[in-house]
Amino acid sequence: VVGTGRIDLLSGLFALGAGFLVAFYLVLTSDLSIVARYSPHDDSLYVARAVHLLAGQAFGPYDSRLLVKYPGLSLWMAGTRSVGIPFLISIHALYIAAGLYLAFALLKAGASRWLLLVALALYLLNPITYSEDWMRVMREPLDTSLFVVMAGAIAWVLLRAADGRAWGHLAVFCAAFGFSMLVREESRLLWALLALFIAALAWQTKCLAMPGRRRLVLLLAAVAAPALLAKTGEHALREFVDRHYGATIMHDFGEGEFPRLVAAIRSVESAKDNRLVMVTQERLARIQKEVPAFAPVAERLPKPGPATFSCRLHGVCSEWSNGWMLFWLKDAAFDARLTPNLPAAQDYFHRVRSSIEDACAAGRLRCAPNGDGLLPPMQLRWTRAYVAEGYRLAKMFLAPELFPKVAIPVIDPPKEVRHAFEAMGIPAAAPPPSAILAGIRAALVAPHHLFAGFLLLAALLALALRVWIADRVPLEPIALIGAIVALYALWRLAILAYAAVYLGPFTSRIVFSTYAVAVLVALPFIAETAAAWRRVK
Amino acid sequence: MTRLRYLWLAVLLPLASNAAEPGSELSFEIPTLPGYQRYVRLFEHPGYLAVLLENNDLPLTHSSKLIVRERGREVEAKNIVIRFIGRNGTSYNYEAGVTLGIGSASVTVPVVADFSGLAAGKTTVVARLPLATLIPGEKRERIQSKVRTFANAATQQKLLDYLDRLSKTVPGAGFDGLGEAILLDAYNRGGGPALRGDVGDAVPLSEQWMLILTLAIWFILFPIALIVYRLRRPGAGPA
Repeated sequence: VVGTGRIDLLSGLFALGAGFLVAFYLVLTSDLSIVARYSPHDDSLYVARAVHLLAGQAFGPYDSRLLVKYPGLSLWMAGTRSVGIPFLISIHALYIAAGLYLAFALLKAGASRWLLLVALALYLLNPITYSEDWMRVMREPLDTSLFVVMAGAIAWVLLRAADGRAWGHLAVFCAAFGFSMLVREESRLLWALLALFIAALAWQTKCLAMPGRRRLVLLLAAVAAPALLAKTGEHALREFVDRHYGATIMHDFGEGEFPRLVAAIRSVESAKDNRLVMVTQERLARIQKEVPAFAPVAERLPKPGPATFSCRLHGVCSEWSNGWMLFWLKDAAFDARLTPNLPAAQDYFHRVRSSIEDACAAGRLRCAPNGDGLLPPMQLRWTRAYVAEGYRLAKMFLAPELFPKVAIPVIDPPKEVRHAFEAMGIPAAAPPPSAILAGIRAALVAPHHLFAGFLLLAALLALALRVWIADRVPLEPIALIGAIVALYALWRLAILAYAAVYLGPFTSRIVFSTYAVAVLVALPFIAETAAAWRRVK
Repeated sequence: MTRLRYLWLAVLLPLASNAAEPGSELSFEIPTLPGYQRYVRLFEHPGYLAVLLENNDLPLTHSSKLIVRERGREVEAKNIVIRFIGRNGTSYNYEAGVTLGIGSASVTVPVVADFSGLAAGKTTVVARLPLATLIPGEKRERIQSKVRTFANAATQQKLLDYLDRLSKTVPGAGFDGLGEAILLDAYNRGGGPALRGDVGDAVPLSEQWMLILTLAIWFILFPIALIVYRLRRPGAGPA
């Protein structure tokens, strides 16, 4: 009884501590509000699509930008708005709930309450949550919270596998997994998370000596349910786009005819050999000459120069880097009225691509095919660039930058964009933040970065050690969730570094999701590794 | 880095036509535009020459900054250092070396450029290399080929035009004025990455083999060795 009373007291203290941290987080961010930003490929696009969804007009009228980003955030905004939850509150609430969900799983798995409180403090006071990108209508905050939910659900399923109470958590995982697949284009990397989850579950159920049939059913469900839900969601969305826009294309920037056209353009030989430039001025000139249908697009493209974003942000001054040129191509085709709707756009891109390929085949253009997707395949000669981008991303992962150093100028939103934000409950002009809270937040950044960076490095070393002794001290849920998060984060960094080789450096928000989970899991994982090491000794 | 060495040769002695190498010497005879007589003092300042090349979109290296010392008499890029020592008539003496990365230790070789034939369109450069005779003919041919690539007549003319244009902006200021104009032009072109070409321009694979080898060792061989060691270790098994 005494023991139980002590446990209850400790649990109560833990709950009190967690509650205090949540309250502190809410106070700390209470003066912040979403900034209405005119960014036709990001903020204002997500908002406009949500407004049209709520009005029953699908994503709104087709233009060159409508389908350049996955629609998950617009669906989220429309959904939360329809039940009367303000966008920022929905983001805060999901982030807090996700963190608590994972933290209680780690507690249940045997993590020290006090260490967990420190980890929760690191999670809730994470400077990314009051960074510039968090206070915009961007996909990263939602994506981050969903990733934390998935990590929490995985931990709970591993814990509850033996007692048959894993199903609810598996359902949570399925929902977060399925929806995440609609939020960001690189979310397909989450299939690797699913694979890691299944491997961990197979390991855990084997260690628990679960009866064969129950084990098989659980494993099959863990494989099939998330996959089916994700594919069903994708299929439904494609049908939706087909019904309203005439083609089953969810993302017309990365699928369909546009990436094939880009591949055809970059196959044309050019003296300029730059990984960040697929569409060179020389290629444009040659194609324009051989493919008259492309001329109206080429003529509308802005010229490169020292004052362009390409020059200022990517250091590509004699050309437009891929981060802009690919969008300009779509915009120019639309402006030239060549792509007034989705089927017409697909047809136009297909015609131009076929004409380029014909010119190549006939020898009128000298061509060297280099993949058929939006990004070329990795080449050995970009090794140095790959290492540089990987290093840059790794540094971000250890300490994300909160404010991009070279910011794109903030442009006042046009009237219709302001109205769209206001329709979603976001004031066009954000009130100024409190000076006191801003001071507290600023004071937290450096210590948090330092401590969290140190912890993450220590956690990587702990991972190596834990794997080294895994055959002598079997991996249990905390170790398994730590290993899953670490391996997935490394895998994601490796793939993002490849994308950055061709698209240019990403900003820090690309690592928000893995960073948020890692700071929460690192400390319990290090403690578990230390305990396992002591057992080996 | 290889490109840097070739370009250095190219700066002093554009276009190799034939090479004669008695004993430990590696010698190049290079057709040179006579117009360079007007700027022969520039060869006392290899640092200014390096900046001159960069100003004309011929960067010595894409991956490191130039360090120009002693009013251009010494230039360093990556681990290569070239220093003007002095001249004896029309013979200009240099010291070219590779820093070893341990303190100030370096390996240097003397290089002599003879400009006595400049009026006749000829420059001779002699590098006194220990064991130069051991350099295979194929390697010499490759060096000559690279020098031709980077120092053809068109490139020489481009640089000459640039110098003529620049010297008109500082009439009567002499060589010092020209040197300052070169540096000033470099400064004006700075502030953006255009000075060294665009970020992301291709780097030859030949300059990346050491990196690839390092990655292979750490990300392939080292993990394999660890796994093999771990599997062979006696007593491995659950506690």
